[in-house]
Amino acid sequence: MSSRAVWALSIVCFIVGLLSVTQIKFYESPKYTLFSMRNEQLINLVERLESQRNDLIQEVTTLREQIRQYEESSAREKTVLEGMLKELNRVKLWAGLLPVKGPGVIITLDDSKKKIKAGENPENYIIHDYDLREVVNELWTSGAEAIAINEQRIVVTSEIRCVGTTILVNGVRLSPPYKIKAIGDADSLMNAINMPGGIISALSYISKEYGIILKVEKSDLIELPPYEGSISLRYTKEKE
Amino acid sequence: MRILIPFIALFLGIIIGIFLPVQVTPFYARYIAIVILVALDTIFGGIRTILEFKFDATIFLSGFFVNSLLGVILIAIGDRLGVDLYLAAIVAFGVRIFQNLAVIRRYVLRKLSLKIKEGKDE
Repeated sequence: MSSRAVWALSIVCFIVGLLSVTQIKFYESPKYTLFSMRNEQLINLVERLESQRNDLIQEVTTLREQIRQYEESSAREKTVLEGMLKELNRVKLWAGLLPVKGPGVIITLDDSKKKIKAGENPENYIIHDYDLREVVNELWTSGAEAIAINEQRIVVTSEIRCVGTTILVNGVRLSPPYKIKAIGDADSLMNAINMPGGIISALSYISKEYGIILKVEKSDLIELPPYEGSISLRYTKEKE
Repeated sequence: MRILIPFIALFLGIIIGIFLPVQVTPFYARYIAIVILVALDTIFGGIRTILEFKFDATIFLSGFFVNSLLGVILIAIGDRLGVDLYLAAIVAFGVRIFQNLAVIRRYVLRKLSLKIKEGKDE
């Protein structure tokens, strides 16, 4: 075996070692388990935006506190404003900017704990954003006055969508179990959502087949937090 | 002792690979896979030519680089055409690895049996 042969072999052996390890590292990295680059980038983006959002929420809280102080002081000075303040509070209550309480229903949804059977679609075993959307929609239809999912108040601009493997509401990532709390006439809410052909009957079918967790209960006292996001409108102006 | 040098090179590659902070994206993983396969094919081909006393370092190294390039080009073209052309490269190199291995095995077995015979003759 000539020395040239040894060195030539050695070079290629070195390359094999180097590349194999790089490749193995890739297949063992969490990056590969997430598999799709697009999702991974989205999740990074979500994380960055979430931290930005947390900063902004703080700012919003301090600014709202200021506004409240202005409102109070001016109301004290001018009795005329008292009525307006009442009206403002009523509107805020309606818009979901105040913490509220009342009777209603609590719907709990959670992913299936069952093992996925071979040949079954794993999508059937988890709760999707559209499930939550349907439930919320049905609750509004049934006369609910205020709704929150996992302490995220649903307001006019609230979105329910999925990014990667999580569900976002108001730009906040939620994780199962999802507790949907709705304030309204508890009995009529119960009757309305349990109507045959509705989303609850569809979900209870999936629950029986695939083991997703579905719980509907009445409650005499539900407390909902206020909406914490930004309420500024940049493009929408009042029509004169 | 010189036969150990390629193994040392292999370990050196593995160790450097472990500590090198290089991240592969899923897109490039297939390219690296084909280069690894070409390298393995080159190594077995090289061992075979050494056993046949026909080894030529220039042919050996140029074969590695040209085949790697060809494999990479095949993948790139396949991506463009939407056809998994890299499968063709994987099959081709895979088959060659097995063929070379078979030839090497025969050489080694023949040498072994010759040695045993010599031992008996003495």
